[in-house]
Amino acid sequence: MALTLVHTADWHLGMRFRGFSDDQELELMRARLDVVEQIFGVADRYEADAVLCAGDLFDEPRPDLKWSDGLAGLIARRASPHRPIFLLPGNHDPLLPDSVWDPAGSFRRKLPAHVHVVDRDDFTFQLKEGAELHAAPCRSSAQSKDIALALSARAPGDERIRVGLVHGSTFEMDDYQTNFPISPDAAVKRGFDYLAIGDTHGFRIFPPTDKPTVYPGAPEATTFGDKDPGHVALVFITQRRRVRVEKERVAKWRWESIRVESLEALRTLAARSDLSQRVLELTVAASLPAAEYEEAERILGELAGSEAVRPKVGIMRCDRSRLELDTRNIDQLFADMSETVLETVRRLQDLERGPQAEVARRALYHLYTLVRKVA
Amino acid sequence: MRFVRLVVDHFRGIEHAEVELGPGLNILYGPNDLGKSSLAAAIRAVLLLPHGSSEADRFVPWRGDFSPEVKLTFADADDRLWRVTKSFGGSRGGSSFLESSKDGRDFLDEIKGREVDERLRTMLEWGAAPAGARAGAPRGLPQTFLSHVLLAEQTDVAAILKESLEMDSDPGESGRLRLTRALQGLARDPRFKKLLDQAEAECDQHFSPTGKLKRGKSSPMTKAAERVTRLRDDLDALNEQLRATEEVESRRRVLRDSVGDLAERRHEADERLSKVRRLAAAQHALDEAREALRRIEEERARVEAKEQAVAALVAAAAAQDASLTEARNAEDAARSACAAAKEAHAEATSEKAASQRALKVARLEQALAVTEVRRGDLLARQKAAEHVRGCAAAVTRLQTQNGEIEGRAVAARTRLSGADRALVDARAHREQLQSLLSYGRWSEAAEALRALLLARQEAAELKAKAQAASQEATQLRTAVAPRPLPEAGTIKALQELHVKLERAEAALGGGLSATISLKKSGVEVEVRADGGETLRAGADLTVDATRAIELSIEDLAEVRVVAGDAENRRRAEALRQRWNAEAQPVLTLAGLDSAAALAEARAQADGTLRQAEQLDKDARHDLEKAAELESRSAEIPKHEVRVRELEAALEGCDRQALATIVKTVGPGWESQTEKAVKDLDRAESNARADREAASGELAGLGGQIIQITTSLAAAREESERARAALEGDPEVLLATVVADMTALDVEAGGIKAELLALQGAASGAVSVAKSRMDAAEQALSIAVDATKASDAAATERRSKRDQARGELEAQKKHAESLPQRQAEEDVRVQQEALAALGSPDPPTTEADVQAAEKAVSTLEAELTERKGDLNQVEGELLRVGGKVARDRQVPLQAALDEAADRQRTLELDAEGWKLLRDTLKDCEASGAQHLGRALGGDVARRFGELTQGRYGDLDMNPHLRVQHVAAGGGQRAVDALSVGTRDQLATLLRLAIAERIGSAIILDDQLVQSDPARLEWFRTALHQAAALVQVIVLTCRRDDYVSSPTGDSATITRVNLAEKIRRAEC
Repeated sequence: MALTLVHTADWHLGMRFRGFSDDQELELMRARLDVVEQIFGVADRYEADAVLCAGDLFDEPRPDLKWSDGLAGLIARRASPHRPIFLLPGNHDPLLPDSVWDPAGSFRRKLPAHVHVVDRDDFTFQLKEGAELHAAPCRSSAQSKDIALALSARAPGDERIRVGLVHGSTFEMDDYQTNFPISPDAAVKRGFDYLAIGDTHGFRIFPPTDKPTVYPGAPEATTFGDKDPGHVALVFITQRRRVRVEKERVAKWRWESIRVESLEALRTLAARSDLSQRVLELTVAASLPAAEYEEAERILGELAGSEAVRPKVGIMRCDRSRLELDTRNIDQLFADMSETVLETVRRLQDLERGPQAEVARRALYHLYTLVRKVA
Repeated sequence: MRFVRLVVDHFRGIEHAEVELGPGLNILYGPNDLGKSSLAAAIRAVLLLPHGSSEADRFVPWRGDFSPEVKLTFADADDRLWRVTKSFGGSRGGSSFLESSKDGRDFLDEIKGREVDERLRTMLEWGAAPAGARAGAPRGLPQTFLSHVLLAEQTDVAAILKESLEMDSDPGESGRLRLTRALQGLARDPRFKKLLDQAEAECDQHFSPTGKLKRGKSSPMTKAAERVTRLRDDLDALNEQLRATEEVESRRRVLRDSVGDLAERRHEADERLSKVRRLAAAQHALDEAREALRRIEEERARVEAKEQAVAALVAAAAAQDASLTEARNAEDAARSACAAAKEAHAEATSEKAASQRALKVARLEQALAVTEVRRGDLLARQKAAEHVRGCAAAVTRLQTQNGEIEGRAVAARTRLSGADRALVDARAHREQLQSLLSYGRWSEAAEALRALLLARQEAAELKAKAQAASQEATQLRTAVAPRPLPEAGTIKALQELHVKLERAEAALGGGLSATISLKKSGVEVEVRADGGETLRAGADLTVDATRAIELSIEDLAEVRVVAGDAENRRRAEALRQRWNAEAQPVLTLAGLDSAAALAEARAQADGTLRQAEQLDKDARHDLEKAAELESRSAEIPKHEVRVRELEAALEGCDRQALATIVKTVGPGWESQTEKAVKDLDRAESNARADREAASGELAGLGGQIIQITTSLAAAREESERARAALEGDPEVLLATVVADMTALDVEAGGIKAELLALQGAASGAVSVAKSRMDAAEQALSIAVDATKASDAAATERRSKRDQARGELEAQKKHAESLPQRQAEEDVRVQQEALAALGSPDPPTTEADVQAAEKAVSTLEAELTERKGDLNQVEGELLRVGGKVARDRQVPLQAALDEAADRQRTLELDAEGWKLLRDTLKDCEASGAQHLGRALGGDVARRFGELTQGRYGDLDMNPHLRVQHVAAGGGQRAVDALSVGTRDQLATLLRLAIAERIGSAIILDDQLVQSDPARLEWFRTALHQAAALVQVIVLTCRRDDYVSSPTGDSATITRVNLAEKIRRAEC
C-alpha cells in the first residue's frame, strides 16, 4: 500500500491586488481560480489518492459569491469524483458562523460528496486502508494554541500511515506566537509521517526528512515578496512509511521586481523574451537627457502597452517617481525654434531653480515632446 | 475690414463716382488727373472726418455749390455690412448716417450725426481720439499711425517709415492695443501656434475655464483622488484592526511574561518550600531522636532515683525496725518501769527508795536533754530535705517559663526573616523600577536634547541665511546706488516730453530731396540727411530727407535746407530746447540715452530695491526665528548634564529591555512606574515595621531569656548544692526523720514519765507511788501503743520497700530494654543530615515551613489569576485580525503609496501643462509688447527677399518706428536708402500691418519708383497679401499689377476708373 497526495494551500481566492489597475487586478484575481484547475490536473496526472488543501483557500471567511461559487463549479466540473478533496479553513478564512464553510451555506451545498470540509477539531479520515488523515481547522484569525499538538498522537503499536493537516506558523516565522503556532517537532510528537500545513506562501520543507512538515506555498504568488511560490507538493508515502516530497510548479505568473538605473538597462529589459508571463514591479531611477528620457518613455509605454497595443509585460507596475528629466542642456534642443519658445525655455529653466522645480521640469518635458510632435 | 462699395458725389473734381470692390486684390486704374487720389481721400474723409469739420472745405467741388458726399459700404471682421454716408457741409453743416445690413440689400439705420464718428472710431480702432478728448490735438482729419498705414496719401509714400504709434492721440491707445493683439498672433509662427494649441488642449483636459483642476466624475484626477481616498480609508480601517491586534498581542506578551515570571517564582518558592520542609523534617527527626534519647536517659535517671528511693525505703524500714525494737525495748522498759513503780510503790515507804529515786531523776533528766538535742537535729535534717525539694520545683518552673519564651522568640525570628526577604525583594524591584525611570527620563531628556541641538543648528543656519540675505540686499542696493535716477513722476513727464518732441519733429517731415550736380571735377561735397551720417560725394548725388539736408561744399559754402513750416519748426525747437534742458542732464547723469531707457532703469531699480527690501525682511524674520531657537539652546548644557547624569544611572542596565518595557507600557510609563515605586515604598515600610516589631520583641525576649537562664542556673546550682549537702534522697530522708521523730517522742515520753514517777516519789507518798505506778502503767500502755504503732509502721514500710523493690526491678528491666545506643546513633545521623542541608541558624521551624507554604500559596493564587487573564486575552485574540490583518497591510500600504504617486504624477503633469501654457503665453505677450520686434522679423524677411539679401534685419522700436536697416555689415539709417527702396520698404511695412490686423489697405501708386524686377516681386507679394486682406491699388499703370505670374486672376478685381468716375466739367 502506497499513498500519493497532492498538498496545496493558500489559494486566497478573492484576494484584492490594490496596487494594480482595475484590469490588472481582475487578471490576477482570476488567475487564483485558474490555477486550481492546474492543481487538479496535477492530481490527475499523478493519480493522487487525495488532495489536501491546507487552509486560506479564500482570502476572507465570507468571500463574494463569485469566488465560492466559482470554486464549487470548478470542483464539480474538474475534480475527479473518486479522489477525496479536503478543504481546511485557515486563519484568513476561519471556520466561523455564517462563513463560507457554513454547512447550510451555498458553497457547502454545492460541493460534491467527495469534498470534505474539515469542520471538527478531531477530524479523521481513512485515506486508504492503513492510511489515516488527522486534521483540525482554524476557528479565528489569530490564536496562540498549537493545533498540530492538539491532534491525537500515534497509539503504541499503530503502524498505519498517519498524515496531519493543519494551518499555522512554524516557530521561526514572525508573529508565530499568535498565528496558530506549530511546534517544529509536532509531526514527531504526534507520530505523523507527513504533516501538511499552510500559511506561508513559499514552498518549504522542515526536517526530519522521514517525518517532514511541509508548506506547499501559494500556487500563484500574492506579492513580490513571496519566496518560491507557485507550486504544489507532491507527496509519495510507501507502505514502509518512507516519504518523498516533490515540488510541482502550477503557477501561470512569475512575479519579479526590477530596478533599472540607466537607459541601457531598460533596453536590456525590453529585449527580454520572457516578459509576457511576468508580473513585473519596475522601478526606474535615472536622470536622463530629453532624448533618452523620451526613449525611456517609449520603452515603458511598450512594456506597459496601451488600449491599442498589447503590452510586452504580462502585468506591470512601474514606479517612475525617480525617473527625472535632465534639463541641463535642454535649451540646445530648441535652437531652431522661435525666440518666444526659447524665452519660454529660459523662463522654465529659471523656475527649475525655485520651489516650482518639479513642475517646471515637467513643463520642459511637455514642451520637448510637443516640439518633437510638431516637428 | 473690407470695402464693398464706394459712391462719391461732388468731391473735389469728381462729380460722381461709383465703384464696386472685390474681396482680394482690386486694381483701380485710370489716367492721371482722373481723381484716383480723390477716391482715396473720400474714403479717409468718410471714415475719419466729422461732417462739420472745416477741413472738409478742401473737398468742395471745383464747380457748383454742392456739398461733397461720400457713401461707403464695408464689411467688418464678422462680415456684417455697414454703410456710412456723410455729407460734408463744412461751416454750413452736413450730415452723417450709419446703417447696417445682413444681406447687402436692405440697410437699417443704426445711428446718425456725431455719434457716427464715435461708432466708427471704436469699430476701426485706428488710434483716433474720441471727440471729447481731442483738446490740444490737431484739428481736422485725425492723423493716426494706422490711418496712415492703411490709407496713406500718394504724396509721401515713405512717410510711414518716420511715423509711429506715438503720434496717436487716443488716450485709450486703441491703435496700439489692436496692433498688440494682432501681433500676438504674429509671434506665433506655425510651430509656435501648434505648440500653444496643444498646450491649451492639454490644459483644457485638466483645468476648468477658471483655472481649477477638473474634478468631474470622469476626470482621471478625480479617479486618482478617489482611489487614494478609498485606499486610505481601507488602510485606516486595517490599521485600526492592527492596532487592536497589537494591543491584544502586547497585553498577551506582558501577561505571558508575567505568567512565566510568576511560574518561575512559584517554582523557586516550591523549591524553597521543599528545602524548608526537608530542613524541618531533618530538624524534627533530630528533635525526635533527641527526645527518644532524652526519654531513655530519663528512664535511666528514674531507675536511679527509684533505686535511691528503694534504698531510702529500705533504710526507713530498717530504721522503723530499729524504732520498733526501740519501742519494744521501751515497752519492756515501761513494763520494767511499771514493775519498778509497783515495787517503788511498795518501797515508797522506805528512805532508801527515796535516795535511789533522786539519783534516778537526775539520770532521767539527763536522758531527756539528750532527746531534745536529737529532736533539734531531726528538725534541721527535715528542713534541709524540704529545701532541696523546693529548689527542684523552682528549676522545673523556670524551665517551663524558658520554653515558652523560646517559642515566642522563634516566631519573632520567623517574622524577622520574612521581613528581611521582603526588603531584599523590594530593593531588587526598586532597582528595576529606578532603572526604568532613569531610562525613560534619559530617553526623554536625550530626545529633548536632540531637539535643542537641532534647534541650535537650525538657528545657525538661519543666521547664516539671514547674513547672506542681508549681504545680498546690500549688494543690490549698492548696485542700484551709483546710477542716480529721478522719480517715476519725473520720468513720466520726460517720456511725455519725448513723445511731444518726436511728434513735433515728425510734423516737420516734408520730404526733401537735393540733387547735387558737380560742374567741376575734384570738388568734394559732404551731405547729411536728417542729421544722419555724413556722406562724401565726388560725383553727382541725390539725397532724400524728411526734415533737413545739410550740404558742405569744401570751404566754399554750407547750405542747410529744412522742411516744415515755420510754426512747426519753432515748436519743435522749443521742445528740443526743453528736452536738452530738462531731460538731457538727467539722462547724462544716469548714463542713459532715452526716456524709455530711463523708465526701464527706474523700473529695474525699483524692482531691485523691492527685492533688497524683501531680502531684508526675510533676514529679519530668519534672525527672529534664530534668536528664538537660540534662546531655547541656552538650555542645552542643563539638558546635557541631565542626560549624562541619567546615562550614568543607566550604567550596566539592559537598555533594550528597558526600552521594550517603556514601549510596551506606553505613554503612561512614568506615572505607572512612580505608582509602582510608591506601592513598593508602602510594602517596604510595612516590612520594615514588621522587622522592627519582631526585632523589638526579640530583644525583649532575649532579656527575659537571659534573666530566666540566670535564674535557672542559680536555681540548678542551689538545687545541686542543697542536694549535695543532703545525704540521700530528700523524700527518704523526710520519711526517716518522721520515724525518728516519732521514736524520739516515745523515748522522751518514757523519760518524762519516769521522771514524773521519780518526782512523785520525791513528794513521797504512797499515792505518789501509786501515781507513779499509774503513770508507769500509763507509760507502759503508751509504750505498748507505740510499739504497736511502730510495728504497724515497720510493717507498712517494709511493704512499701518491698513494693518499691518490685517496681525498681520492673523499671530496671524496662530501662535496660531501651535502645540508648541506637538513639544516640540516630541523633548523630540526624545531626549530620541537618548539617548536610545547611544547618540554618536559627534552626528551621514550623513557622518557616508555614511561611514558605504561604508564599507558594500566594504565588499560586497570583499565577492562577494571571493565567486567567492570559486566557481572557487569548480569547480576545480570536476576535482580532492577527497576522491576517498584518498580511494585508503591506500590499495595501504599497497600493496607497502607488496611488498617491499616481495622483501626484497626474497633478504634476497637469501643473506642468498649465505652467507651459502660461509661460508660452507670457512669452508671446512679452514679445508682442515690443511691436517692432514682433513685426520686424516678418517685414525684414520680405525686405530681404525683395532686395535679394542686400538688406537684413530691420530695427524697429516698440512703437513701430523704423530706426535702422542692416546692410553691408552695419546699421543704416532709412534716409540713406534710395527713394524707391524706401517706398518699397514702406509698402512692405504697411502690407504686413494690414495683414496682421486683417484690414483693407489702399496703395495709391506706391511703387512708381520700383524697377521691373522688384515690381514683379511685388506683384506676387500683393497677390499673397490679397489672399488674406483686401488690397486696393490705385494706379495709372494697370499692367504693373495685373499680369499675375501665376496666371490666376480670379481673385483680382479690375476697375477701369475712367468708366466709373464722372469728372466735373471745367
